[in-house]
Amino acid sequence: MNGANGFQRRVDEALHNGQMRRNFRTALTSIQAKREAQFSDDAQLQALREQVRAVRASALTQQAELLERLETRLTENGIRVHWAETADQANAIICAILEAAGASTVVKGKSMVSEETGLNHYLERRGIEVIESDLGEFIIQLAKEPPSHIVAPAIHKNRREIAELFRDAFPGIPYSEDIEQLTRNARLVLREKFAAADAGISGVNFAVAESGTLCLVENEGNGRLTTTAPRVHIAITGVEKVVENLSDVPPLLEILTKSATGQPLTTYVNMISRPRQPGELDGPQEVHLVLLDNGRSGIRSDDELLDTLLCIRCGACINYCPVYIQLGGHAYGTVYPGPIGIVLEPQRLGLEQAGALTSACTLCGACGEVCPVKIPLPRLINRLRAEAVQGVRGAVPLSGRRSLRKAREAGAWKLWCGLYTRPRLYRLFTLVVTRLRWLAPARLGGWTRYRIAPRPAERALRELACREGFRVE
Amino acid sequence: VSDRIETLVAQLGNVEVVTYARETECCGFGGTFAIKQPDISGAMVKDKTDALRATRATRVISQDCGCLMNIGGAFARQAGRLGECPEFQHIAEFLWERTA
Repeated sequence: MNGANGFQRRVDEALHNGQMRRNFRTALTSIQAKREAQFSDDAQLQALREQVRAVRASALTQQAELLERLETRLTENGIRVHWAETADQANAIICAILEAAGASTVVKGKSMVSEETGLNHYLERRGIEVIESDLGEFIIQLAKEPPSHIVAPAIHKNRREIAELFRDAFPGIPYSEDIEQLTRNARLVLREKFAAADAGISGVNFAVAESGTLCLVENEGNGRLTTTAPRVHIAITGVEKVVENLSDVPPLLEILTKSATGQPLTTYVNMISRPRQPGELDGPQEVHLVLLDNGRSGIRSDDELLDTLLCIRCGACINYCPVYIQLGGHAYGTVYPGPIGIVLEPQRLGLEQAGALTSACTLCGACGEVCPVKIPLPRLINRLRAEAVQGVRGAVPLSGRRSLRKAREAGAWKLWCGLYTRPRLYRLFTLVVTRLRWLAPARLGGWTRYRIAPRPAERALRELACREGFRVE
Repeated sequence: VSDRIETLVAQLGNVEVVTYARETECCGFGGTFAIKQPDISGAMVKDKTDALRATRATRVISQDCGCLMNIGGAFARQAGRLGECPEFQHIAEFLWERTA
């Protein structure tokens, strides 16, 4: 699927797709402005980040115990809990639940974890119809594409492209490029699906251990319908989504929605705690939770990389990444794109497979500045780069460690290091370079495709300073 | 420090500081990034030069030599095709020139 060559090919395709790049620029500029309007008081934002990071960090430290408590509470509430080590296991569990319930049609709310497991394909191959009900997911399901963003999966498409997709998929509905009309058309199609579906599958934003509550935010009401209208509801989530107390949820929700979409709160906040009770008129008869590991416990074994698991999937790092803004999400070729993808995917898939992503970063620091849980993303990206070429001493070896090592590059750095750590040699080097500046090449590979070649100065700064009478050691 | 430099420079006589679109967005240098991902880097620096050109500023000042080399180099390469190239200076050079 991936590897360095595949990645470069997709980068090339993305950079040549002018329409898509314009779509990304427009959409992300608007999301950035909305987020900034919510966080006008920087002191407040920084305090909230500290608070939320502490909540997440404490939950990670106590994760094993919290997961046990979560299972106990959920079971008491009548929600059945299933544990999956791998993506395939999760898919098999969900498929078995559906088969046992005689379910052949499923509506789905947005879930990145189900993208991780490739759930839709798995179920479709077994004859189960899966309909994505989040508008963005609905659009890309029609286009047969994966999400290009973890919060806004169809962000790469503009309304004309969406209108054309709808025209081809629903010939009975009159063509429109009006956003409200398009939404109404999707609603028309989806309402019937909700009414007919045997089961609903959703993700989870936070699973609360003390009360056994599954918290799910959304804007379209599709999450509410997915989790209440069909007779079976299956939620799937990563094990790291557990938090301890209900009182942890408000600050988490605040920073999640403000960071993600610039909303003070989403239109719908679902707190799911039990299936339908006797005498109640609605709600699913069965509720299941599938808790997936899929490589997460491996990430836990490294103190620095552990921060990866603090992530609440708001997508702010993606929205601010200047490389993502140019490329969009598909170029990454992984489930999670952007900075969090560069950090998460090489750990999940190994450095041979996804290590090339670490080169798609200027280490500008924008992602680390906006991350609501203060994951030091630039530092982690740099760490993974180092792991990919030389490994890091004392660390738990990552899969594919040193797989991107190139002898020539390693040699060049060794030379550079030798020069920069020997002042006399370095001085001699600058003397030679400044005197022979006319020999500097005019073409420098990819650099001069877009810029002129830099020329060494006539005199080194040290020489100039000496001449001005400064004492230089 | 970028905001402090802006304040400092704005206080000098005969200087008009102009702002431009997406000032805080990375110019695409990133050290070896510019060599390893030349096309992504090229796309990023193109956006940066376009935004700067729209201001019609005559001089671009920065405290980062990498940014200066990248943006200045791109401007020089585009010169002629896309119009005049402003002068690129490190903040220290700019202040030195004014005090000398």
